[in-house]
Parts: sequence; C-alpha cells; structure tokens
Amino acid sequence: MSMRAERITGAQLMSLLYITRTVPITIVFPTLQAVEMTQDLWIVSLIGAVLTVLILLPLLFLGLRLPGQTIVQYSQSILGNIPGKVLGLILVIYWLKIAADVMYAIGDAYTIAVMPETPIWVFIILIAFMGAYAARHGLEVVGRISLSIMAVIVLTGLLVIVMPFETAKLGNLLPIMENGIQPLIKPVTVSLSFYAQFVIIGMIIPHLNQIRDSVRFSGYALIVTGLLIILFSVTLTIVFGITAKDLSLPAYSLTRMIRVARFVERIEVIVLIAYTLGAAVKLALMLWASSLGLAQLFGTSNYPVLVYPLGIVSVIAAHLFHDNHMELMSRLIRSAPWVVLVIAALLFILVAGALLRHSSKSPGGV
Amino acid sequence: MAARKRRAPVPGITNDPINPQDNDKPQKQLSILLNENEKLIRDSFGDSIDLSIRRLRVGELAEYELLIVHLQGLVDDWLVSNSIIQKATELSRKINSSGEIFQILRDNLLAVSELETVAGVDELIAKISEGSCGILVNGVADGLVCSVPGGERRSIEDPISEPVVRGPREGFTESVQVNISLLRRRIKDPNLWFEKRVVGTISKTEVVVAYISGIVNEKTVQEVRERLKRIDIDFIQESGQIEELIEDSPLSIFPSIFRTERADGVAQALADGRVAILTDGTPFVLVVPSDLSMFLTSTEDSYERFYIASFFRLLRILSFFISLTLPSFYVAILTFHHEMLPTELLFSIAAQREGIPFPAIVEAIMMELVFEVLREAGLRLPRMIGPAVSIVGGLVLGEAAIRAGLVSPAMVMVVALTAVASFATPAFNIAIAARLLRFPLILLAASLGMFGIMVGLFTIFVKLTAQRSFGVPYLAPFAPLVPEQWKDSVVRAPLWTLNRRTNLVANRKNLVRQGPGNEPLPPDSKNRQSGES
Repeated sequence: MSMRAERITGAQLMSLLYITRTVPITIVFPTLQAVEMTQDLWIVSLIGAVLTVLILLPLLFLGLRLPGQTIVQYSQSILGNIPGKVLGLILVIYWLKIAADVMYAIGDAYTIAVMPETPIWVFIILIAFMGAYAARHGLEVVGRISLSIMAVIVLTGLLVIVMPFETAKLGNLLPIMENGIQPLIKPVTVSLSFYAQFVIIGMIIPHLNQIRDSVRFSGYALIVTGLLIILFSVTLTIVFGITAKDLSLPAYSLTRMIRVARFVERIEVIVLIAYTLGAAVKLALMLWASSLGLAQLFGTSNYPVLVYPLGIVSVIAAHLFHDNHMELMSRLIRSAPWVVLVIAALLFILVAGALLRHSSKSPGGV
Repeated sequence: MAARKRRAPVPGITNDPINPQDNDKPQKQLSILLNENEKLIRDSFGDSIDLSIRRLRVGELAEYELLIVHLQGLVDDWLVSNSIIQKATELSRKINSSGEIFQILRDNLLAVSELETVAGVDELIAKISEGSCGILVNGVADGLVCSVPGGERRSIEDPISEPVVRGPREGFTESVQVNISLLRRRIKDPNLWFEKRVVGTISKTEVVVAYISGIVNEKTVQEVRERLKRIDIDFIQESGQIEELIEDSPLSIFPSIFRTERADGVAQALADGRVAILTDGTPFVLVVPSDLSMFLTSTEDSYERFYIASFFRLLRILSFFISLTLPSFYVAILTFHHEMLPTELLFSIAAQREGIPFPAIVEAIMMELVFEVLREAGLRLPRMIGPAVSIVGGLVLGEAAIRAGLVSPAMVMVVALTAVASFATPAFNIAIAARLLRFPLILLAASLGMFGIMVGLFTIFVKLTAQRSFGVPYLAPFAPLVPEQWKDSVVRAPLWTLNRRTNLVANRKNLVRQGPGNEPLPPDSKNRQSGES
C-alpha cells in the first residue's frame, strides 16, 4: 500500500469527534447510572461539555505548535525518546481499550435487545471486521464515511429526542440539584471520561488539509455533541422520570415510545443500526489511530499491516475483560476518575514540556 | 508525448501517431519494379480473395504500368473507378517518364481528400488493411495511398439501449469515423481534440481519445494515454475489453467507467471536462472519470423541466436502493424483527405464509433466481418471442407458484417490485451490480437480521468510498461530501444556477460555465434593472 498523504477536511474532523463521543455511549449511557437523581442528568451533561474545553485547548495548542506531527510523534520530540515512547504506548493501549469497549457495548446491546439467542462473539467479531476493514483503507475513507454516518445518527438522534414528546412530563425535571453540588462530582467525571476520548484529535490534526480548521471544527464538534447529549438527557428525564435509572439501554427504550399514525412504530432496530454504523466508524478510527501510533513508535510508516492484528487483539481483549452488561457499566464508572486523571496528567506534561522546550530555544525560533 | 497536441479534420484522422512499438522495426523499402512489389503485397496478404489488384496500362502508347491495390468491401468502389482509375488514364496521356506520372498523380490527379506518399512496405500494407487504396507506378520506388472510405455500414439510429422521451435520437455507430463526426457536429470548437492509438496486434483496433483542451484536466488525459499505452493484447472487439484493461478497481463489482451510446451524452461529458474513449467497431463509448451519480442520471434530465428531472433523479436513487435491499429487508423482518410491522399487516402476512413449506430465505432466493432466469431468457430470445416469455414466465409462473402454495403473494410482490426498481436504473451495468449484491445481502439478512444487512451495506459503502475513477472519488458528491455539487447529481437545479463545472473533474483554472445573469426575467423587470444600474 502506498504511503500517500492522507488528508481530511474540517467537517470530517467534526464528524469523527462527534461519533467518538456519542457512540456507543448514548446507547448504554453510563452517566445515567452514575447520577444519584435523574433530574440532575442534564446539568451533569452540561458541566461535562463545558469542562471539555480544558481537554481540547491543550490538544489544539500542541497540534498547532508542532504541526505535521501526531501526538505519538510530538510526545517523543517533547519528552525525549524513552519517556515519549512510554507515553505513546499508553495512548495506543488506551485506544485499544476503547475499541474493546465499543465492541462489547454493541454486542451487548444486540444480545440484550434484539437477538438474545445469538452468542455475543458473533457481533463482536463482525463489528471488529467492519471497523478493521474501514481502518485498513486509511483515514481518508474513514473520514468520508463518518460524515455520512454522522448525518444518519444525528437524524435518528433528533427523532428519538423529539418524537416521544406526547409521553413527556415536564415536571419530571424538578427538583433541580436537591442535594447540592456534591453528588454531581462523580457523574461529571464519568461524562468527562468519555469526552477525554477527544485526545484522538492529536492523531488527526496533522492530517487536516487546513490545519487552522482544527480549532473551529473541534469547537463545532463540542457544541453539537454537547447539545445533543443535553437534549437527550432532558428527553430521557421527562419521559421516564425517576425510573430512567432502571433502563439498561436508554436510547433504545426511548425509541420504543415512538408511534406515529399506527404505521411507524417499533423502529428501535433502525436507531440501533444507526448507532452500530457509528460504532463501526469509531472502531475504525481507534484501530487506525492505534496502528498508526504503534507504527510510529517503531519508526515505520507502514501502519495498514498492523490494522488486522490489532483488531484481533482488541477482539480478544473484549472477550477477556468483559463479563456482562452490569460489569461493563460499573467498570466504566469506576475507571472514569482514573481515565480523566491520566489524560489530564499527560496533557499537562506535554504542554509544560512544549513551553519549556520553547523557552529554552531562541525566542525567535519555532 | 506529454506535449503532443494534435488536431484532426473530419472525416478521418490524419497525422496519426504511429505506435512506438511499430517504430522499432527496420522498414523494408518498396522496390522500383512493379512485379516485385506486386509479389510482396500478394505474399503479405497470402493471396487472400478479398485483395483486389488491378494492373493498368496508361500513357499514349500504354507504355507505363500502374498497380492499384485495395481490399474489397473496405473502399468505395465507385470512387476507385471514377476518381482513381478513370482520372489516371485520362491525365497520363501526355507524359514522358514514370517519375512524371507519379508526380502528376500525386499533385493534381486524384479527386480524393487525403493522399499520402509511402516508401515502406509495412506502411503500405498497414494502410491497405485500414481501407485505403494503394497506387504504385512501375519505375518509382514510392507508393501513393489515398483514403476512399466506403463499404457497408450501419446507419445512425436511435440508441436502443438508452431510449429517451425527449432529446436527440442520434446514437453512435460501429464506425469510429462516423462517431468522431457526430461529436464534431455537436462541439464545433477547435479545442475539441482527438488522439488516435492502435490497440491489438491482430485486430489493430483504432482507439480514439477525445477531449476539449482547456476544459479537461490535463492529468486525466495523461493518465488515459499511459493506461492505453500499457495495453499489450492481440485482439480487441469492444470498448468493454478496453475498460477491463484500464479501470481503477479491476475486482470491484461496481463499474468505474461509464459507457454510453448516446452522442449527446458524450458531448455533454466532454463539455464537463471529461475524456471520451471511442473504440472502432462498437457504438459504446467510454467516459472517464466517472462517478456513481453518472450511472444514475440520464441525458434527458438536462432537457426536461428541472422539477421533473429532480423528481426522476430522486426516484432513481430510491429505486436503486430498493433493488439492492428490499428482498433482504423483507427476509430480515420476517425472520427476526416481526415487531417492526404493524400488527394487522403481520397477521395478514402470517396468514399468507400459512401453508408455505419453506422459510423466507428459501422463498426469496428461489423467486429471485427465477426472475434472473426470466430476465436473461427474455433478453437472449429473438425480439418476437421475448414478450411471450415474460408473460408466460412472469404472470403464469408467479400465479401458479402462489396457487401451488410454494411462495407467498407478498414475496412475489417484493420480488416483482425489486425487478421493476432495478429496471429504473438507467445504466444496465450498475443495475446488474445491485442485482448481484442482492444475494449476499439476503443471506446476511437471513442469518443476522438487520445487523447482517448493516454489515453488508457498511462493507459496500467503505469499498465504494475507497474506489476511484481516474483520480476522482467514486462517491464524489456524497463521500467526500461536496454539497455544492448536489445540485447536479441528487437533484437537477435550474440550468441558470449551474454556473460552474465540477472542480473534481474539470480543469480548475477554467470552471466557469456561464455568466451569472442567465435567469430569464420578464421584460419590464429587465428594464428596471438596467435603469437602476
């Protein structure tokens, strides 16, 4: 495979970030399990989205400061060879972990909701194949399909948010913050731990055809993502009220409430399909990023050969580290503070290193 | 090679670049003696029966000998006897030497448009094979070849594979000269250039590359030249064989080169900055680069009112999806997702399927296969029997299958709808691609329901997104997303809004198609505007 430069547009970056954050999180929605009171959900989502700026800004700063380098490459040029490689390896493992989670969450959703008799590994392997097949064709193809699939997800997402309104009770939103701000901290970290996946932008920025677009379009991505998740939280709360916490697949359950003109009903499979397409794109992005990252750690550029092996690794990981739905959810919630902490620490070290490196050089440099 | 720019008059192409492989051979020269030359020619053609050699004695005392050679059926007999033989006899009365007779013949004799002097035997033979008439004079080591095209040809007819309600009725023919003239008549700009290559060591098929210089992207032309140059094959009959040797994704089910036999379609494509590849011996012309939306549009869309054209385009996209996925969705819903149907409909379908011995997938594959057989049978039969087969096959078989309790009426309806939808696709080869992919999708649907269909569609989508046609992404206005170009692919916007050519295809320095003020306005508002400004 030739090593042609892969270039994507700002809009494609936006769609990749959007899909990274929303899929398949809004299907299983761990934040919902983490909140104490359902009516606080939308506030948690709002705070999470706002705090994400703190993750995006350092990433954009680094990307613009060291143009043409991925996060794996510039961590080596900032921190030096060995510490940089360790940091790169952590990121590669992080992306593989996300890939494994995505596979398991989707397989889980299908076995819970649609086809309980089919073993979960059928779904895991097929979705892994879809992701790896797309990743193998490179970021350009992943970016292009992501924009179309984002359109599908946003449309079905709006459908899910708007259609069940006849069953909604606005009173379910009250009271707000009954127990003060204290109980919000844990769910906010959970929400933030998924926004931390935006770290993938460090791999994408050098592939933008207009590097300046990264600021504008990652901003759009954050706004669109944040708004849709907040709206989704509001709908979830006003439709289900206090019982929302009992739902294992909230988005799926919301779709079941849709019924139009005695003809359009029970369309939840279609919504699930839309999210699965998104999951395949997210998986493709994660496999692409981890293969490219690993290739760059070894100093080669021939990453496509690594895509299928890493796909198999993440399939095995999905099998080994997950037992069932409850375990997946509790692990996502338990690990959230650590994920946020590690990502924040990485970014802090990188930014500090970049600034120090800059000041140690001549002022006119870089 | 890169800077080669040729302009060819119509009819026929002069200054043909001879293929490089021909240049390598040492040329054998013609002899002074007519007898030797005659023997050489006879030997080369193996004294074939269609070779016509006429010895002619001219001059006052009939002292000079001429040799007139041509292949029967390739030249115009009337022209040979009137413009060549008769004229040569008349004009060579008062001459003194063989050299003079050659000169007179060359300079002022022959009433033909094209005349060339050749010295090599191979060159002479090649020209005769192409349908020229050769003239040799005893005592002169050079020969003359003149183009007297003739022979039986099909006339220009309505293109039967791509009929339209409104639009020109001219289709290409098998003769590349006629096809070139059809294009030249539609595009009178001198920037319409034709380049010739000869492909096939036995067939020596003329392949002509056509483009409008200045509008076309030079890189595309260069790429076409290189890919044609790479072909090393003995025999070429049809443009489909060229297509298979130059396309980007040789293993893809979806065709990546558009073909048409409509002259107006090719002229429009040239004006859009595309390159046409004409092959002698077939009315089908290749157009590159081509994207998926080209296969779903008809030339008629540009002639009908834009509301109608837009509606048709959306309808075609819809029917393409129906022809690809409808049976698999039906199978998936019946097998796994009963709850998606409204209850009454589910009961009605369940009642229909009461006595049917097969699962939905067997039913679907059976009916689809029957339909494919019917389609193929109807196509291959003589035109008089074709409709009879579709009536017997379609109506009688379908009805009998339902009565016999082998398939449910709903399944027959689904298959029939799919068939009709696949006929709504204007390009036959893309409709077949959809039909082929239907079978794996049905299998996926029967084993994994909607999830399986999604796996199949996603894989197709990724494959098509990665596919390119001469540097242009196959799914161009959709992935990569170029919303600005949707106005001439998904729908057709009014002509006066289509101000620019597609920058993915055409030369980026020359994208303006028309001025901004083309929207027709009532006369008084025009006056008002000019009064203001």
